[in-house]
Amino acid sequence: MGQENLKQLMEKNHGALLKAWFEQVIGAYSDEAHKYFAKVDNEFSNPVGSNIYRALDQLLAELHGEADADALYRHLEMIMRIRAVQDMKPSRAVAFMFAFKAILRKQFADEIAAGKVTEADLRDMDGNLDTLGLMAFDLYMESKNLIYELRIKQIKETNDMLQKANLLNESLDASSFMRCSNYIEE
Amino acid sequence: MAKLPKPEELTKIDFKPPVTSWMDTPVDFKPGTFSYPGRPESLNIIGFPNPRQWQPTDDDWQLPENWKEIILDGLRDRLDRFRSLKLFMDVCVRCGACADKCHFFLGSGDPKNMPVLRAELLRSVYRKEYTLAGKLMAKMVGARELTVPVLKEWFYYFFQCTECRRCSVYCPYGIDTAEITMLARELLNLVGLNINWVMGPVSACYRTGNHLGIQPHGIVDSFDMVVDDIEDITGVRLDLSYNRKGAEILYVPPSGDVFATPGTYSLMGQLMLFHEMGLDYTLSTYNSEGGNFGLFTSNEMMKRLNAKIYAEAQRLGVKYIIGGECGHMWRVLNQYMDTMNGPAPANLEVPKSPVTGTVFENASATKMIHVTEFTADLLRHNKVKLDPSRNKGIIATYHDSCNPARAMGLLDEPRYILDHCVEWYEMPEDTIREKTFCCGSGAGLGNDENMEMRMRGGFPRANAVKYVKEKHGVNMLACICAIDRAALPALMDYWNPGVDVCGVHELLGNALVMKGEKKREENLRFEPLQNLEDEEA
Repeated sequence: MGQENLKQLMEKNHGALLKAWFEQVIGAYSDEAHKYFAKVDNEFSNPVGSNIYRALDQLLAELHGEADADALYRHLEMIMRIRAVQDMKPSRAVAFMFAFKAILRKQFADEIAAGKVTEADLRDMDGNLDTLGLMAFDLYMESKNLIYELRIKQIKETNDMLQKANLLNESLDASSFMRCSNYIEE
Repeated sequence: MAKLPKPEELTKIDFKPPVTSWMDTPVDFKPGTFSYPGRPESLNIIGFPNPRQWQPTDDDWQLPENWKEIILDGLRDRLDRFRSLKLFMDVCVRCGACADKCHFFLGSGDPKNMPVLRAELLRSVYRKEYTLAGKLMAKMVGARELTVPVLKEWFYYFFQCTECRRCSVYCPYGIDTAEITMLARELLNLVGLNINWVMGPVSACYRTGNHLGIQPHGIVDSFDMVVDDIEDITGVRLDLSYNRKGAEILYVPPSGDVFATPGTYSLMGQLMLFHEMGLDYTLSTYNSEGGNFGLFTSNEMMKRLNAKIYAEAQRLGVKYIIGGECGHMWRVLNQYMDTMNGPAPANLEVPKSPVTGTVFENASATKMIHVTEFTADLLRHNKVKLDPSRNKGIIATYHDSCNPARAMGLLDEPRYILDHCVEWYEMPEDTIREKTFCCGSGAGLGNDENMEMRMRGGFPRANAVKYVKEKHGVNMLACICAIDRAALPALMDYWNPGVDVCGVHELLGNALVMKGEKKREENLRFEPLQNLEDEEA
């Protein structure tokens, strides 16, 4: 029964858990942004909030369902793509996965105290969340790498274009490229 | 010594950022979110002040000693000259209608990307200097002193606005926030604060007539390559003319389409169509750029760069001008050219299609029409033979490029062309036509160093593309802007891998049936045609 119990409880309380988790995630933004990101009724006028909300909803369903690794990866991908281009440190970008442990414990405090949710159940779920946290970090790095790749691609394309036009001489963009490399070294 | 937190303690971290008033939150320049400054060589060419080597991350920006006086005098001068600026400074009631309309705010959540607050960066200084309440009560009425940190904030956020004007669509007072950004950039330029991705093209354009700085023989070489490619694909050799006096039409594309893919494919489609229609047109190796980065610099610079359009049309004695698939170019041409450098030279006439006889009265002042207007009219009169099956395998959507959509109301012509050429689907209503979302890279921000910010700002657009990609299998994002064609591929690679970018005329060129053509086996990208593959199978 053990693991089943926690998962069943999570499924039964899906709405409350999702609300608390979503609040935790968008709480990391400024007050003004929080206000807008919280409105998830229009996915096109609020792409950040609605995409995060939808992804958390799906992640949660997987966590109390099959916990399919591919599906979890897919749902996490959108959140991490978003967070990799926003103004936050990597630790903060992935913290929501670990923060969910506290949300679970708070939501089911009574059940835990009454022994309905066993330590073993919690440990298993914590393990899943740790794995997802690491997966989130992989995705964060993958997104960051993609940004650097896109940047290099643009530099190369500009370079090729200038070369084609016989404009790649000493004066044109050598100093800009130097400055680019300075930044990469920093 | 700081104690290492245990894992369970990590979850107790308060993730909320510290709350400080916007006035007291200084800018933090992080790589990936700002553009490199203009090179002194570029500034010297156009005679702009304070040329020097510097970086936004430097503590000392090497401003002129009297920088504050220069900026405040500059602001006073512009308030006197431009009633619109005075109005925009006074009339905003901070209703918030614009707040969540900016793609940079929607992608970042940074409150200073809300158009109202972006404008407030300038307005706060205006209040302090020019209103009684601001002088007396300062912070209470949102007024503040102009300081170096404020100036740094201006640089950061006014070069974080793409001048797309989506916010203006929603403003009940019609405040044109792009014009506020333009004026703020003008002020910044007075003390030498600008970005290389703008100043490089501006100085190159001033010297050679195009953003890359390509000289006349280089222009001809590039067109030759395009003509060679067209011949390889269609078997038809185009005979282009340059600087030909007495031609009926002067055609001015954005130079991005002459030198870089996927723009070249769209240019190929236009040149093929002109050939097929037997158009009497010429290209100019001096007026070799429809785009005008002066728009992102100062109104005087915009005027200087725009002057060549009419000058060349006059020199060549053409009757009217067709402009290519460019975005910001059309804000300049449609809204500013007539005021800046008009009236049009006497040799220019109201554009009239030699094929259909349609008179484009909408362009009776400027004497210049957009190529999609010209093409849509041809299609309306059944003058073009098309085989849309050559676009088989392409499922397109259409991105309304900001300026043609919002600055000239060019909404239906590109769609009409797509209707005739390709299977395509609209993105959701709030993200198209005059409500279109910016690519996130306009107004000079499409440089590589700003990539993270571009991905942030482009997310609302990418999110709408994602919707039609998932719903209809869209794999091609069509647009009518050269900056879009340069910027959107990276945006798609990040958010929607598998979606490519093209100009509307590339799809027309694929479908265009030309007299004397050989059996088409490849599209304009030299990729095998899918309809033939299906036939063979």
